[in-house]
Amino acid sequence: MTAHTPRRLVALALLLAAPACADREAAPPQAAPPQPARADGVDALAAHVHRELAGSEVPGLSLYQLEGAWTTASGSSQELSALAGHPILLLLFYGSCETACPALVHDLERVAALLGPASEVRFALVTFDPERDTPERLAAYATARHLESPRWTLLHGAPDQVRELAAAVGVRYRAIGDGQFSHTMRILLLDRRGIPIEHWDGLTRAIEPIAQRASEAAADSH
Amino acid sequence: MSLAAGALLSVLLAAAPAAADGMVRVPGASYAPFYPAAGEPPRSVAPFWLDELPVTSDEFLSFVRAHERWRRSRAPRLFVDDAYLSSWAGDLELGADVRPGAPVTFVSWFAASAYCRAEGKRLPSEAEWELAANPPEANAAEQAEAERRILAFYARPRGELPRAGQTPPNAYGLRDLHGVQWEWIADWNASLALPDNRQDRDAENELFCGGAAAAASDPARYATFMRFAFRASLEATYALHHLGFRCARSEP
Repeated sequence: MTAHTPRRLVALALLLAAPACADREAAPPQAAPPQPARADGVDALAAHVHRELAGSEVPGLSLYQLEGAWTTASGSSQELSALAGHPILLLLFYGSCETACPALVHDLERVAALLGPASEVRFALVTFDPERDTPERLAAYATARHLESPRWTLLHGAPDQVRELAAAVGVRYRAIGDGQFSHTMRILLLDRRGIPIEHWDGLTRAIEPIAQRASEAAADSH
Repeated sequence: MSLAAGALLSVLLAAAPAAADGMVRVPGASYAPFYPAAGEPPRSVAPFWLDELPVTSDEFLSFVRAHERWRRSRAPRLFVDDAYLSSWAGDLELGADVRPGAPVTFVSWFAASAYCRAEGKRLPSEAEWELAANPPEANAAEQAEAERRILAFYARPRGELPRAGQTPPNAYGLRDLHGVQWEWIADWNASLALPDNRQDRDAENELFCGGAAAAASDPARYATFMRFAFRASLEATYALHHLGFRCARSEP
């Protein structure tokens, strides 16, 4: 890991700014208003996140510092930081799980329904079984469950990459044979900058507080 | 190959364990998890190379000199907690309390991983570390001695770390795997305090009164049990007094 922070931040800023600016005649991200209202769109937000990260002397807690490209269910390649700009509900799971994971994914679907279609909150499912959960399998999983892009992102990564993300968010998992895993059941909420701001463990908690907290995060410019 | 040549070869191999660049080759083997989940099968581990010694403070100092991002005052809090390199006098100064040749400690898993990557290496997996630390060919006396040393280490109050390489080499020629410090592994977060919080209704019982040790594959190996319990208690940003690391490399 030799990249230095400033370079990474520039890369992040470019990553954030490029797609958002493409469909706007707007000035470069630096010229965006200091307090981005959500109506100003993702580009202003991206610029804000950029300034926030770049200007900060305080070491960051953002997960978007994690390096490496992931593959989405549609087969395209993206860094984790491509999720920046939206509050994210994140779940590490595996597709062939028959007990906990379907229940957790179903919980997230219910949260999505509670939030409503206009919500800015997005959902990311990352498999810790990259061997079986190929991007094709993830695509089939998403289709079967009507998890539509861009609201839902399913990510496939290298084993080390998944291990690192799990380590960063306090998720433990262990292959226990026959394609099964022991694992932490944790749903995380990331703010727009990728900072984990809340998590919920287990299967027996209510989903309303998750939706509530996520919509608060969406109301926040961070 | 004649019988004599074969015998000579095995004598040579025994006398000089395969080593290069301070690394030692560990033969592949089957690894049976110490604390298996129900039905978890043994896994096969390919031959690999492991540092003979843990990474030392002066080696880690060279790393942070070259990688500004990993200096104490710069490292992002996603990757290290406040104790990171806290025994050092400064960003680039070990100070009087840290022996240059002693294993580096107060390093997080992220920092340890970054160091190994910068060396073109990686952290060993649990299976690799456990195989390296418990050579199957070790005889009962060696095993008992290792166990004794480990337990003495657990019992000792935290003190200054000795220089790396003071303990006798094990059957592979590796030193300091036991009795000096704990070491990070790549998949420490595969150690679950509870074997499976999804299907095990009695999981809580195993937190207490040595229940987990009783469920382990070899309850006699108390030291190993301690190691797994320790790993299960870690977080990736933890920087601890007696927690260091060494690096591994896959066989090309």
